[in-house]
Amino acid sequence: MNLAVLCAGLLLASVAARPQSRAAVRRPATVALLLLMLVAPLLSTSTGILFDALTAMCIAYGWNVIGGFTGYASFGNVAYLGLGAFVAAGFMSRQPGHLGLPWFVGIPLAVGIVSLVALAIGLAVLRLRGHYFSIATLGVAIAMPEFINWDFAFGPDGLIPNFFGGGRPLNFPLVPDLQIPGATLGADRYLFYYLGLLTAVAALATTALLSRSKFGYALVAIRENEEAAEAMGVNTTVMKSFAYVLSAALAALGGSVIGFKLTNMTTEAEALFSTTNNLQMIVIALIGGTGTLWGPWIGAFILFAIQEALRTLSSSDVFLQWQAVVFSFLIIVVVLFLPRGLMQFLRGRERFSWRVFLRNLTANRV
Amino acid sequence: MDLLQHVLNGLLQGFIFALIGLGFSMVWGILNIINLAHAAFIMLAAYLAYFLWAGQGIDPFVALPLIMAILFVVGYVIQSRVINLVMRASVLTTFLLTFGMEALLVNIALRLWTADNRQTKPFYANVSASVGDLRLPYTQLGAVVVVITLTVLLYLFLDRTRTGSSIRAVGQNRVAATLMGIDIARTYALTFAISAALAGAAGTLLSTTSAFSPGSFGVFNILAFSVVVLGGLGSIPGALVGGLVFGLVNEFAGTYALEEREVVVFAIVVFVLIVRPTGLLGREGYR
Repeated sequence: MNLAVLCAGLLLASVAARPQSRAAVRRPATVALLLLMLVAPLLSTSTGILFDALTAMCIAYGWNVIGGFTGYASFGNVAYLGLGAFVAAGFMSRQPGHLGLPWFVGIPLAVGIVSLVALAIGLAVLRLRGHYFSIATLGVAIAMPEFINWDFAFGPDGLIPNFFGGGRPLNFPLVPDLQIPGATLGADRYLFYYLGLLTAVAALATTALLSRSKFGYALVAIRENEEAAEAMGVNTTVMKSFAYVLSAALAALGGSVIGFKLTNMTTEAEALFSTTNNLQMIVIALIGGTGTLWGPWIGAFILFAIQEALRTLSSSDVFLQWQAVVFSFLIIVVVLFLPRGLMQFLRGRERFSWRVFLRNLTANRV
Repeated sequence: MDLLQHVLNGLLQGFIFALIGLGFSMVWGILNIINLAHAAFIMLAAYLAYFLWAGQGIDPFVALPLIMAILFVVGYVIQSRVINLVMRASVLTTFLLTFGMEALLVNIALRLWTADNRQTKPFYANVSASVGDLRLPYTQLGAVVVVITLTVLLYLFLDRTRTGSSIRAVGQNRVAATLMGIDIARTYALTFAISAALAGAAGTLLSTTSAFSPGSFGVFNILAFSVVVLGGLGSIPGALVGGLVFGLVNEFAGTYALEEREVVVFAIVVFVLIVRPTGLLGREGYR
């Protein structure tokens, strides 16, 4: 059933994404897509994979802002994903020494704090261009887990003692199933799913606003030619910093919701900072099409539809073991054969044909 | 005396860092690619050295030319068959491509060879010569000899041979080089192959000096970058100086600020980047 929802969502998103079709077609498609996502938990008994797809999509939308619109390859967004989860856990945990804030306060607060951290880092690394920037973001990805384990700030006698658990387990509060007269609404099936949907819709809406705003056009101008953009009066440093912060905020939003569902956060839990997570957001944005409104949506649904199909075919976790290998292989293949993503087929007059792949492959050859 | 030992450790480490930076710097300066798969090449070579030693009993220093040759071929094929296809695309494209390659190689290595720590340990590994109070590990001394030899050879190759001149010409002006009849695609492949071979040498040496696993190599991309930033892009002496300085910085940061080692090292690199963007010995790159 999840597979059916993903495929139907894919179809509707493709219709909504076609710029050449009339608004009278695109708007109803968008509305239908959102309605489908709203009723999805009624259709499917376990919405786990949909939750994964929606949160991953939100994070990929974040990468899309800096990597797609601005054209700056950031390899460090996974740092903000993890940090978002840990900060949210620090605020929401009911363990002694933590505030135990409810999720609708804790998660926005976490996103805000991560944005500030990203602003501080961004102001430093965005003075760098191109190559230098990307390498600096690699450094950010490596440094962040260390930062969380930094005894001086977060150790037992640190500035904020044991905010991230300090070696002891850090837990999000458990979410009880919701009891309404006549039925029990499972937390995993309903609450977390809708939280995931909220993040995805927030990311989509942000990107929609962005792609029509002066800010969005400034970012595209920077991508196409930074010197020219600067000459035209775009304050490139400020614009890039905003893009970087926005991208980190979306990563933190997705990350904190993922962490909330995971519940158990330990400072040793490096899964949130894993390469797989880092690769996943890039793969999603690339498959769909970087720098487009619907690219990450389509990319995420395709990726998770394939995962779901594979999971039903082979019950073993062979796929999970080889996930990072598959993701990195996909990055190479998509960069070579479909650098503009599936949006290339949706937006152009180009018909689907194998020759397109060949033409893409040889377009930038020396 | 303690201080002298630290200086020595730093310099010995620095020679291997210089070798890593050298290969990275060539591809960056001439192809304008930040090759994020550089660390993966180092990893491949380290495992080659390990398996040749553990399986066949071949001494890593004997296997070194063979491993460099293998990496040379790997590099040549990757550049001529794959990366050459996107050389005229945006910087983002080559970035993502090499990032994908790095992740692919490392994750395949993790699946095939697990995350176990390994070290190539010939009989002289982890043994040191003593000069007074100073300790000089044999494998690191061997590494210094290898690095100096390779650097001199590379310098002579780039400076004295026709092929070397064509590589430098492509780095200086791609269009003019084409007009002079240089085969750009081949030159790119050759440059990348040399860089991979140097990474191969570095990996072989590293496999003898300390234990490694697939995950322990990711840091070398940032290290190589830092070495190039410190020394300045596109010069062989620059890479050497950068490597030695980085080795010293790394050693002293590790001694006096063990916890925040990475932060200190990275802060220094960023500082150099801001104060002297062209590096300590640098001019404005090849471009």
